Amino acid sequence: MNKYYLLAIALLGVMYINAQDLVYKIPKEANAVASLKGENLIELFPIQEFDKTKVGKEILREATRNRDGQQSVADLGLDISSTGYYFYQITDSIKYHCMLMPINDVQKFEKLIRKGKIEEEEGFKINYREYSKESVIAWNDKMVLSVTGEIIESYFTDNKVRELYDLPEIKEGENGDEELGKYLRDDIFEKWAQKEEITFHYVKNKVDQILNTPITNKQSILANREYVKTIDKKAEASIWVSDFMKIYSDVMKGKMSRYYSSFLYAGMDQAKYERQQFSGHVYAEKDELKMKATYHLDKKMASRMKKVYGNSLNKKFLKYINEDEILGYASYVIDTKGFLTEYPKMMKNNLGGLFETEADIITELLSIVLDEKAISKVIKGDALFVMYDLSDKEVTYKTYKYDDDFKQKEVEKTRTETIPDFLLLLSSSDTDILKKLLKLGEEKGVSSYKDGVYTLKHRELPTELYVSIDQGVIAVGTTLERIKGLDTSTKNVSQKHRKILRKNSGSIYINTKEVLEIAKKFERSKRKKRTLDYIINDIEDIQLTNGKVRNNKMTAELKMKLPEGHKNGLKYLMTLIENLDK
Amino acid sequence: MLKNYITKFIILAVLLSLTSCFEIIEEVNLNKDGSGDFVLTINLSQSKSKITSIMLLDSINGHKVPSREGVQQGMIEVLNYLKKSKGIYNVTKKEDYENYVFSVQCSFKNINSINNLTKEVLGKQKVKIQSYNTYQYDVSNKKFTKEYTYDSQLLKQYNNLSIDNKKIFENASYTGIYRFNEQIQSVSNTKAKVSKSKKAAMLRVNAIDLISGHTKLNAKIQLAK
Repeated sequence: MNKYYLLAIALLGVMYINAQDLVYKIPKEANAVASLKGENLIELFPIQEFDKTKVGKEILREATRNRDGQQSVADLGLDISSTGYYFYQITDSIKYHCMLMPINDVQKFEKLIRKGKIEEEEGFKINYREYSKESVIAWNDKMVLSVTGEIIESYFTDNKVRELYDLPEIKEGENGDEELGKYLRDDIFEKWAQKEEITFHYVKNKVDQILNTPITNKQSILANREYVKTIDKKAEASIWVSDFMKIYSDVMKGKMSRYYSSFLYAGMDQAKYERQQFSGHVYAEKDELKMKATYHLDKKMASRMKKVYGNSLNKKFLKYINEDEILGYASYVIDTKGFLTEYPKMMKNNLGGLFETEADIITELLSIVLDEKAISKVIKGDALFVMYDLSDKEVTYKTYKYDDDFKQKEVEKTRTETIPDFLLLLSSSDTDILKKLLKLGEEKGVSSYKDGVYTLKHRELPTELYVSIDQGVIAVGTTLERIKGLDTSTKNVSQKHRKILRKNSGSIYINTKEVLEIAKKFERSKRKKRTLDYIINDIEDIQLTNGKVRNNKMTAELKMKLPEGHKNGLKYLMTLIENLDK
Repeated sequence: MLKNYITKFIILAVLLSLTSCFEIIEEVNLNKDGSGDFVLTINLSQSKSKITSIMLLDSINGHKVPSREGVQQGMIEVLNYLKKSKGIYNVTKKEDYENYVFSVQCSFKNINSINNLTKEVLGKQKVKIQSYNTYQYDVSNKKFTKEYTYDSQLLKQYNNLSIDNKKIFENASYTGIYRFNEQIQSVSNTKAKVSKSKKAAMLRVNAIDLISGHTKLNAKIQLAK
């Protein structure tokens, strides 16, 4: 008995959630879903506070123009404490862009509708403008739905379909081209209004389907396991794309049908893509702001990507970094051999069945011409670019001295210039070719060699560059000490940065405070200086990482820790925007 | 791709960190009969790091960066123009792309021939300056006159520049040197210096004063009779 009781409560709970949350209205076949969680946002940033912000005031001003002024964004009739959804659905005949949001006061909401025609249909009201009927807003007591339809013209080239919509038959012309009366084949519709009416018909059906037709859980997106797996309740905003390669090829086909031959996009259908999903989330947590994007690759692609992004950044690079002095860094790791062998295969796959023999020949030829193994010895594929502080450097310049008779004499003087100090590190297990190149540079007077360091000096370089080759690490930079790895006294890399650099296939780190301090030095406008001062005091380091392939997924993350004194990421962001706009 | 980004980033960082300035030198060597030589030099050597960086870019602040070939072509155009100008001969040029120093030199039979030359030469390089110099030498009275016409557009154009571009003019200077065979008796411009031998006068002003119109380049030089 107890078991059944619990089951009943659980079911009721699910039903209650479903009644509140409009996700169940999204069809299982949706190709992309985005959501904005009102409840999370309101918890992080109460609506009363939002009303006082510039954005809040602007929304209120716009929404209540010429009407009795509502006092709060919460009074607009929309249930902003719920989740709002956007979804995209593509069928063989039309693409739908839909937005769904719950309503808590339909009278208040209706006051927001000011333009266009309002028609009362069974179970809902619909608002649209006469000259753009492909976009409608429809609502009932519980929710508002906006639908924009976009016809896929190629679908309407089939004469059987045309008959259904009373469109004239397309006949083959004298010169073999298909003709539609006096129009060309590309003009699928005789008049713009025809297309608009057909779109309106589709859009209205969609509205009816979503607002009036009962939908079971099995038919909703909640029955799509892949979507459900990506749901993250902690995220403030989320996006999910079921198969981005399909969307890409559909969009391309839609665009190309008017301008290109069917031959090209016939190949796209044959491109051997499997489902590749994408999901992204935004988190405004207590201590950090975070964006996370995940590519869910198919098995084949994942195994290829594993080969391309299989390597880790050379450990020896860390010896060259002095974390206390860095302004930022960027790292990138690929496996050159993996890249050279897998990339042509990926290109061939992208072409689908098109030019199959040609693609085979090119792939083979590339493999013969490029010795992947030998190239990967010379360039292993990992690189680390470190930006240090700006340093002073003496440079010479020409000017003139005048004697007592003002006769001119050319003299060389020196001046101090501030040069950015950077270091670029690359891995190589075969440095012979580079050494030979540098030797050639010596003969040509471009480089010189002393104590294990090459100095490159050329009029086309803004500053001298130093190059060292040591234990498979090629270091290129502007400061001799850093190139030699002599800067040992304060050399250290924290566990945090070791992890970022070693565990990811790519990363960018910006020491924001320091970078902005430098920008301030070059800023003259007092207003901009004040803004920079504000940001410097209210910003923390930014990091972007691109992870390796794990469980057929690749994840990119953008993070910023919150400065002290901010309750959460959203409050921080809103305050920052408000202050920057002052 | 990454290499490109890094290269662009370095160049932009270099540009951000470098100060720049330049000097323009105008020299007139006048003989007793009113003939002489004229040299115009633009010395960008103090900004060479910045120019080297700029030359690596395709465009900066929306302006197209000329290539070295473009600059060379411009110099040839200037030279050809001067060669065709009446009363001017022995036209030569000097180009130093390591230090970015460029000069054109010519001889004249009468100093009137070089009137507006600076304006025309800069105009050929699409630098529209309405301020210009005219020279006169009265052989019988031994009086050299330099008239400078200031155009207020100069200040307007300068004020329209961004702060970064304005910085270029901060330490820029204009130097005019006038050498004679006879001694100088008097110079009307109080800012001009007379050499020890009294056979040369020099007028050095900073570009900002010239642009704002605070300093005039007018000078009447009376030579000993």
